Amino acid sequence: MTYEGAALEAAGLDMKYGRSSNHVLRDCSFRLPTGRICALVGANGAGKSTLLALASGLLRPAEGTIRMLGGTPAEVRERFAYVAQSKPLFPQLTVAETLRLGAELNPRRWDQAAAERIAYNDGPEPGARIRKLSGGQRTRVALALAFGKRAELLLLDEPMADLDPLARQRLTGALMAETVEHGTTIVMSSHVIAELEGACDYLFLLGSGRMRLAGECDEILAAHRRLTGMQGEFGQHTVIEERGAGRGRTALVRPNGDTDAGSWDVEEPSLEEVLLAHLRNPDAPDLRTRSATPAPRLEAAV
Amino acid sequence: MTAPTEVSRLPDGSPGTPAPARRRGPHGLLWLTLRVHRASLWGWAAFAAVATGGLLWLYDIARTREQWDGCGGPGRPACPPVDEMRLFDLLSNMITFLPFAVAVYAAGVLVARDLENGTAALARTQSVSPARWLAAKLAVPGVLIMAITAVMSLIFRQAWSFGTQQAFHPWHFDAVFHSAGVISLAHVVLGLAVGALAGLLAKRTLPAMGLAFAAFLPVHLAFNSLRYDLWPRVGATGFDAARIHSDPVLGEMGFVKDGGARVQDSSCYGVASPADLQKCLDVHGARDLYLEFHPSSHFWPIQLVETGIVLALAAVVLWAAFRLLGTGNATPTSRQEAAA
Repeated sequence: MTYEGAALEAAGLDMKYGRSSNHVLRDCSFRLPTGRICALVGANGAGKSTLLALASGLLRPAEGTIRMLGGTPAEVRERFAYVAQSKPLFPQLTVAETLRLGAELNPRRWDQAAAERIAYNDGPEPGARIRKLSGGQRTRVALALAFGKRAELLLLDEPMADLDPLARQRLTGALMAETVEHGTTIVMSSHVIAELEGACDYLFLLGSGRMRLAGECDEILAAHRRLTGMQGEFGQHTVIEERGAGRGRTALVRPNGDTDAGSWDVEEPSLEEVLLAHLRNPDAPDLRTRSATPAPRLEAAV
Repeated sequence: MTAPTEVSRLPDGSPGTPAPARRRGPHGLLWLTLRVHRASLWGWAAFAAVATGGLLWLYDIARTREQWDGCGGPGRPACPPVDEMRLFDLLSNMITFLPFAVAVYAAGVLVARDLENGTAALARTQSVSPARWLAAKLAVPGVLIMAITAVMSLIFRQAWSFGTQQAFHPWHFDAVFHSAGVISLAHVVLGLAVGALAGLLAKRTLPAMGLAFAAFLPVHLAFNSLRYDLWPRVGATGFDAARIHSDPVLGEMGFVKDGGARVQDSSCYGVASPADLQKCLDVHGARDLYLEFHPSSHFWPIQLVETGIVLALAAVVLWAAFRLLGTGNATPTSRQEAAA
């Protein structure tokens, strides 16, 4: 496998705020191949927004390196777009003026039609002032700016939070079409797992300052099994979480060897189950697939 | 999602706006700065209109001063509707304290508000570097404010220099020195620089404004107390020293004692004749009188030296501001937001 073509690659990231000794990120390393739609999940305060702000170059890591599209965030400024959680927009501008902002500040890349599709579809009038918009409408204008930039990498912090179900569905469709048509890589954070399932083919689970799970959704799913049996013994498999189920026990495990050997039922868990089990059990070992592992030279350089 | 072949149409079938044709007028960051700060730039323009009106009024009163002599008396024309000294003081103080307003404006409105509400992140994650973002924010309003300052100073100087200057305050009066030369422009530039740095450091609107004011105040006071040491004084002795009209703030006067020692004292200042001076010197046991002072011809040398120092200071402060921006310490994302 090649280490070229990573949309986002980080090694040994350390980040904390002020003089507090609580690290938001600690020795965090990961890699995201291009063309993926990646869900960045984690509990509140896990550092999702910090990670995206580091990726976008708005914050500097205390330690470690982060590279995107083969350069530093400043070097590839034109090629990525970032939508912050608070969806900052100039309140005194109209929607049309906000899109003009995108055109003026991205003169070589701007796609007005792509931006207008996101902003105006059942949305606000072009002449409406940003300060008069609802939260969901603001979100859509912020996303329209990101889409109009025709970025190769979209960093979206909680993009779905304010959207109604229909708008969510439309956004999900737009994101998937963007990836199919232009090979765009997308990272979006959320703490609502359900809204990401189905849209994403890549997953980062952030917790305790590091990537606890990183890799293709199907590979992560394939690495886990739900075992249900009468006795609470699950053999040589790594147990992520175990609890009572009726008269027996059920466990989410990472199989080590053949799972058919024991006297238990074997089922494939859902992605949500895997994530919840890891969130509930912070001591579960990390899992990083091959494509999510940064190049050795990058790690060695730290 | 619309098919790729329909990218130029909105989903309802109406034609979308074509990719923006080259528009007339300003572009890029210049357009954005003018648009985002439109309200405050109009505010400056309104201030400029009012202040220029006041200055032209003062100019008119000063130009026709002879007509007003003995005004209001029997058989004389009515006096002007304002006291020219009060108008003079108001306007000269306005120019003197303009740099404070500029510093507070730059800190709060130009820089910190954008950092506080996150819109700096918006501009900076377009294809625009932080340095260009800050440069546009300072340059566009800066050019306007400097033009306003230059016009105000020019009209003020014309009004002040009509007739004998003693009609108004003398050249070394703080407000006159600030308003009738070129240091007003330099102080405005420094105000802009100090405001930018304060805005980047404080990151929130009100604290940034307070910090900018607090940081500019000692600079202002320091120049008021030190500026007459920026150029060597002229010396005089004997009856000349007693006769030259000089303000104590400009230098010092005193006795030369028999041993050559100098003692500050103004007892014999202003005596009527050389003989009176000798009598006065004898009374005080002094050999001679000395005076060190700035003649009014030192106005421009002192103005130019101060302008140079203030601009150098502004360059250092601006360098610090851009450096702070480059290290990523002046990040638009607040801690609360980033930690979420």
